[in-house]
Amino acid sequence: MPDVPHFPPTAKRVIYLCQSGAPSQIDLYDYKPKLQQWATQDLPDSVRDGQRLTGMTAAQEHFPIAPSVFDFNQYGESGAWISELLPHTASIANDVTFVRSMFTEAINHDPAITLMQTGTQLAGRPSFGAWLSYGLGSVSEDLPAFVALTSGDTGQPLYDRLWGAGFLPSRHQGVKFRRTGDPVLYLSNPPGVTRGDRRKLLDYLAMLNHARANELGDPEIVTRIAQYEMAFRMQASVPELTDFSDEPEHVLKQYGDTVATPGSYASNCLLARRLAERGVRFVQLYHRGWDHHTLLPKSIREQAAATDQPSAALIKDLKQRGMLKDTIVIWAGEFGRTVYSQGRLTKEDYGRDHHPRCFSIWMAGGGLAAGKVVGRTDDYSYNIEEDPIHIHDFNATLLHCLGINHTRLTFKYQGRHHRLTDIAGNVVQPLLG
Amino acid sequence: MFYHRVIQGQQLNLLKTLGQHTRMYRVLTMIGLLCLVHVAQATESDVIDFSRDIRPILADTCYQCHGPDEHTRETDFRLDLQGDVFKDHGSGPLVIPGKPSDSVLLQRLLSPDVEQRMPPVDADRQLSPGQIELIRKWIQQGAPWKQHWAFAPIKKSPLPIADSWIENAIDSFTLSAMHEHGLAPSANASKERLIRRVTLDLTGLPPTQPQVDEFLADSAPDAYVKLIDRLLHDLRYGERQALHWLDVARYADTNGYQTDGERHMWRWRDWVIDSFNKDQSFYDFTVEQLAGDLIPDGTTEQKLATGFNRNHRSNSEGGIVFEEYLVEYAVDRVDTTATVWLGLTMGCARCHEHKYDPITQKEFYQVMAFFNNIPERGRVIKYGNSFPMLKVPTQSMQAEMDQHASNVAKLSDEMTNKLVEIIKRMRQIDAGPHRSAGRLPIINQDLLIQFDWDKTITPQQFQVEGRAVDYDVINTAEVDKELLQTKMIAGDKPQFKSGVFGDALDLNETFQLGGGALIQFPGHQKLTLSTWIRVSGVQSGAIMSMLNPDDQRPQGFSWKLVDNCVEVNFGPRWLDDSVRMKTKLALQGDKWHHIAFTSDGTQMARGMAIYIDGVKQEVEVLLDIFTGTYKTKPTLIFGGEATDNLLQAQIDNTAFYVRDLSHQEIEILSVRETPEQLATLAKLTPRQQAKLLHYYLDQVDAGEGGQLYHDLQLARHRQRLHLATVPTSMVMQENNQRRKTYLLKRGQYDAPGEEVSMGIPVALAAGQKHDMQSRLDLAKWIVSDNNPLTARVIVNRFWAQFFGRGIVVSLENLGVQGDAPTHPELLDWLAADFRENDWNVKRLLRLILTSATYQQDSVVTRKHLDVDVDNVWLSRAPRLRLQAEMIRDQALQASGLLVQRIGGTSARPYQPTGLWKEIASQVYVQGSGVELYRRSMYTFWKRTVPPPTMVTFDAASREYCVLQRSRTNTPLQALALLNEVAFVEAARNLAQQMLKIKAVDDAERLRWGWRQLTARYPSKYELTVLQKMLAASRKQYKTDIESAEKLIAFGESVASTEFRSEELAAFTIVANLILNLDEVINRE
Repeated sequence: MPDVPHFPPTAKRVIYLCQSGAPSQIDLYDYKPKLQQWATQDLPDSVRDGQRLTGMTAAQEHFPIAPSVFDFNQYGESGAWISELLPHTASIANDVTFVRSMFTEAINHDPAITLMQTGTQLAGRPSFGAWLSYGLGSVSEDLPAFVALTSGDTGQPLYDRLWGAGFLPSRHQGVKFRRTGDPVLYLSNPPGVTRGDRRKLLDYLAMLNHARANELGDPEIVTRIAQYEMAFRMQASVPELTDFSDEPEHVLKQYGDTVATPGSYASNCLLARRLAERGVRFVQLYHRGWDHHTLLPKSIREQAAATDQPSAALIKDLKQRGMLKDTIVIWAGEFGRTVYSQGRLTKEDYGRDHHPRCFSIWMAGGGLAAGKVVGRTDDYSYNIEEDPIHIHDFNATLLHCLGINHTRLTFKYQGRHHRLTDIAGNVVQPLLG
Repeated sequence: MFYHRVIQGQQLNLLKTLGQHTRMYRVLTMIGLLCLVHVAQATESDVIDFSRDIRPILADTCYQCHGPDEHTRETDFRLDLQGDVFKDHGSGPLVIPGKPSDSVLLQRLLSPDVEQRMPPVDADRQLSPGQIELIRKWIQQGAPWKQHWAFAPIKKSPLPIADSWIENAIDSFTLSAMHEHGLAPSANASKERLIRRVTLDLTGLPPTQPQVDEFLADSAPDAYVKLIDRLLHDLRYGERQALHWLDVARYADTNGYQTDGERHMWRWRDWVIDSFNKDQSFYDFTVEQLAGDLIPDGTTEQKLATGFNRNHRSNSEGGIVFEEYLVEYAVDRVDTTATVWLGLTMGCARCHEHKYDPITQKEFYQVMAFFNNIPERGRVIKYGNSFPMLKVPTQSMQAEMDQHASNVAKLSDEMTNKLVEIIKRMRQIDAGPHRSAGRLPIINQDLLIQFDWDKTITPQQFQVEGRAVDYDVINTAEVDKELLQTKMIAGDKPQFKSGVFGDALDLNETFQLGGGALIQFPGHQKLTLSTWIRVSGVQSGAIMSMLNPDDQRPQGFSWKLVDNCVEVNFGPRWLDDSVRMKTKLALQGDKWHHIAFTSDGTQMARGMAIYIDGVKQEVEVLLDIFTGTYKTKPTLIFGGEATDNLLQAQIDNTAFYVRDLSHQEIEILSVRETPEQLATLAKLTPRQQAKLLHYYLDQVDAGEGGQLYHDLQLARHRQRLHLATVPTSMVMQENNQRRKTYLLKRGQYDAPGEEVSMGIPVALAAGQKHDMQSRLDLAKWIVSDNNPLTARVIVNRFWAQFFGRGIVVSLENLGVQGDAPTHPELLDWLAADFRENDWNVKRLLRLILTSATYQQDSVVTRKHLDVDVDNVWLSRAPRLRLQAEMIRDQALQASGLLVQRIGGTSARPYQPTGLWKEIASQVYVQGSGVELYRRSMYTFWKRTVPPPTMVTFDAASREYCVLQRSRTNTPLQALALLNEVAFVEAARNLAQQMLKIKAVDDAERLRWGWRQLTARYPSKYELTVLQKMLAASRKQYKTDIESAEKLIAFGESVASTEFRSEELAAFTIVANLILNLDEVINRE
């Protein structure tokens, strides 16, 4: 049984905006003006320095440098460089910390996103939210501790294991809210059954189950009765949760037009806030479609347009409600992208392959630093020159904000005390507020 | 004092964690138990057992720095070695038996000096005062040292006690333990409870009411034994055992990474069911799954069994490094095999020496060497099975195959007998019944399209030739039935020049021909392309292509000449996902050649061939990693790749077949002379003769010969069609040339160290040879008497099936860090007995189930809660929530919906719309009819998005080996049981049955429905509640018929019209209630 918190937390909950497919840091946050003069030249071997490549480009004859086609400007007190694709994110520069020096070992989506979410590349370990559910339990009486939301119709697939419980008891797995049909599976009564009918059935069911409990004495029966009651409460609380009609116009407007479309990224951002408000400890939001091997300029423009405003709106909304101070918000993909073009490079068009050695993310709230830029990469956005932060360090830092010493939140499985950060991880002081 | 503090801390944690589940009652009693345990430990007279009490503490807290792993070892002594523990390492012996205060070990544990104290203050794992006290007492008691219990030989001890309660050996051990802990056995369960329990345990389904009646009526003393024998012979028994084995074997219907495409392993799954049903000895069950491919003269079934170690996840993601995943696959096999059979966490030794168990890193790789010699690739086929695989017909398929083979053989013999005579007359081709019908190509079976280019660009299509009704095209799904529409890509008109047979199409720089119809050549289909070609001089350019022209990474098919060498490329990505091969021989310029390309659908170069003039060519394989899929836009182009790579040449008689033609058939195609010309030649080469013969038989001979020929062709065609429906299954197989295995530093694929050979860890092979020659040696060692682990591991798991927990609770780990057995002598007795009796599973189960221990009631008393809340000492039967699959299967059976068909392809029952789509952009095609009502173990299992209701009830994801599922109790389970269409539909069908039975009143119907699920009649109180529910629902639906109709229309099965809607709806609600009873989803 975990003995948490280990020290007073600065954050109570997490909203994790996972940008699945790996957004290009070079076109969004990691401004590299010198690339212009090196355009189309081959990436020097000295820079690549033995980095393994994916099978998709390893056989390319050339690795031509592709500068970003997008303009960058500086924003906020930190003077963070942000691409023209992200005007709304630029407006929250003082609330967030941009990290340009994240790195990973994985070079393919499945292992990389699994590492990002569970601390290991292979299936079978609990996800971040499951660890929190296990460590901190639930606050909400009628909602799960850990909810996963998804948006985006194309791009890399997602996997249930990303919000899975691994070897932890399966009640800690994230509850995936659906975009179509019932938000929570089987939430609706069958056709022809009203809430009143259901109440009646549950009352009679409880009578029978109580009788059984009296006869057999198994405490699990009493637990089951309570679970049916919680299910009944969820049938009311979830529709209320997903119904935005009580949101003021100006709030809806902040998230942009698509907030009205269920299952859109904007709608999920707002839903995340509503979940956080109601005591859900970990909201894991996934947006697909960042895997731009080809036609990057066109695709990333669309992708940024769909996500920029809602992401920023979420920060503003939380801040305005006084929730940002104890809510961690993270915006991150699973790795970075190459400075060289995959496939044909023209002035307007290029693609980028997977790159593990550096990628950019941002984070805000919950006791984390604000208005800061952490980490620096070389002129190629290829190698980290300052403050390298591994995923384990990052996770250790998030747990720290939640009042957890990452080396002490463990679960014994197969004879080993497992933890989210495996056998590594250091709290990154510069990220703390 | 110390103990008090410890307990308080644990109380807090318990409260915190369990509080969420409102299990206060249980919490309080657990605290009571904890107090008791600690008090017991504090008593001086208790005998400390090193293996049970001390080693686990040392392992957990001290081995990290003073254990087997030399890399993390901080000193030169090891606390896992007896010699080291009693030795002086400078400041006196660590342990002096009988003298705790003189022992350096204890001094260091208790040192007030922070610098001296162990473990260091900043260490993650600290000792509790209670643990230190245990160590003190152990030293006080003489510090007896014992080998870790699981590595010691299995010892069959005498039965501890006799008592009239005892039914068999098991009870002697459990009763003795109960007595030790102040407990007494519970009374026997009622017959109703017992038959439901044992039927669910053995078949995964509840008993039917006639079965209950029969058992109740049987007052013979052996009624219960007869019941067990009946159940062990029920074919559902095999399904139920297999279900557990599917978790163990991480079996699924998809590959498990990224795209998570479909694979086909159901024949292996059915092998498992069959194995349990025919009571195969666990010895053979083991050897065949681990090394069935290496058994001398092994059967197909034995090879099929090795699918066990191909069930692991496999990756088809585009950019992966092959070598990285080859290592992952081999590691998975080691981990899984070690966990399943040895109960060891061998995977811990992948990156470093095992921290707790005596397994070195090198030994890990020695075990990996057994599993690292498979002719496999790191990136697997995206949709389908990957090599090595085997065609594995079912019994009925095999019978049909034999029938086809014998038909073909018979006709072929007859044909051969007639040939001499036919050859004499085959030159007489002037007249014949088919000549007037237009000339057919000589080889026309499975011919899809031929362009003869005789001043026309309209192809002849052959798939509905009509000369024999059975001549259907195999891959109808891939072929657009519309006529190939042609259009010019460039130039005005096609130009023709004189060809081999009539005219030929002239390809030149200004002209290409594009086809508007979809002819996809996906890699997994069999295929032959054949054409005549004449090049001017030396040329490079495409003969024919189907590429996506706009794509930066050309995907598709291209057949071309490169300096007159013939090259083929196809696949989704030119750079890293295609097959590309080129002949070494170049065509001669200005001369007609016949060229052909065949592919057998394996997407591998070795399944493909290029022929020039009927001779199979030596090729240079430029790339051989075609694993993905592609679809090209509907453009078939002759003479170029889009507007690039134009070729100057003439082509003639260009044909596509949906089959890989045989060498002989290609030889025939390469004969330039027409049959008429051949008929005039005095001397024919073999291939000329073959051509003429085929032509004669096919199109001239109206007599017996022609008939026989056509019969033979048709028989062969049918044989091929049938063979195409025979499934494959992935199997283990050894490389011809042994793949080397290296120790991998830090476990990384790209950091090889020394080369290693096959072997098992030395510590497990005390006094035996640990080097081995093959996987078969390993398999045989695993089930040999020399191995102390496997029999214990296996009986422990079977035990857990029936008691909800193992004798060793950590089913997956019997190593040093695992739990100590609660009944060590019982475990050993069972293991020895199992082994002595030829590893007979049914015998073992019969023993367990006929024990008095198993037959106890499951009522939990106050005393149980006070003394043994977790039922460690088995003084009652456990009450266990049913597994996910059983909950659904029970509902299906009780409602009469269950389709009981053993095995076959996986089924696709109800699933909420869009579940796959929204996270993976894939479409789940829900089945209908039978598919909706098959047992849940047959539900199509997509690993990255598993069936949601199963997961809600704690099913394993099947991504990795799971020996023990959790058993949770959550609101989502309530929602599924109350609302999911499968359960509501089952409720309505149950209601229909309740209404259909002959009954005098409602009460009788309700009693029947209740008993259908619980195997007992309801009490008076329970019946009253049901009646109230019924009355309330009746009232409701009487005034709201529309709602009633909606409710009973839920689900695909059609509601019976025998009953009024409101009546059926009211009973449906009652059935819905019954299906949600806690008693119903538990086995008591």
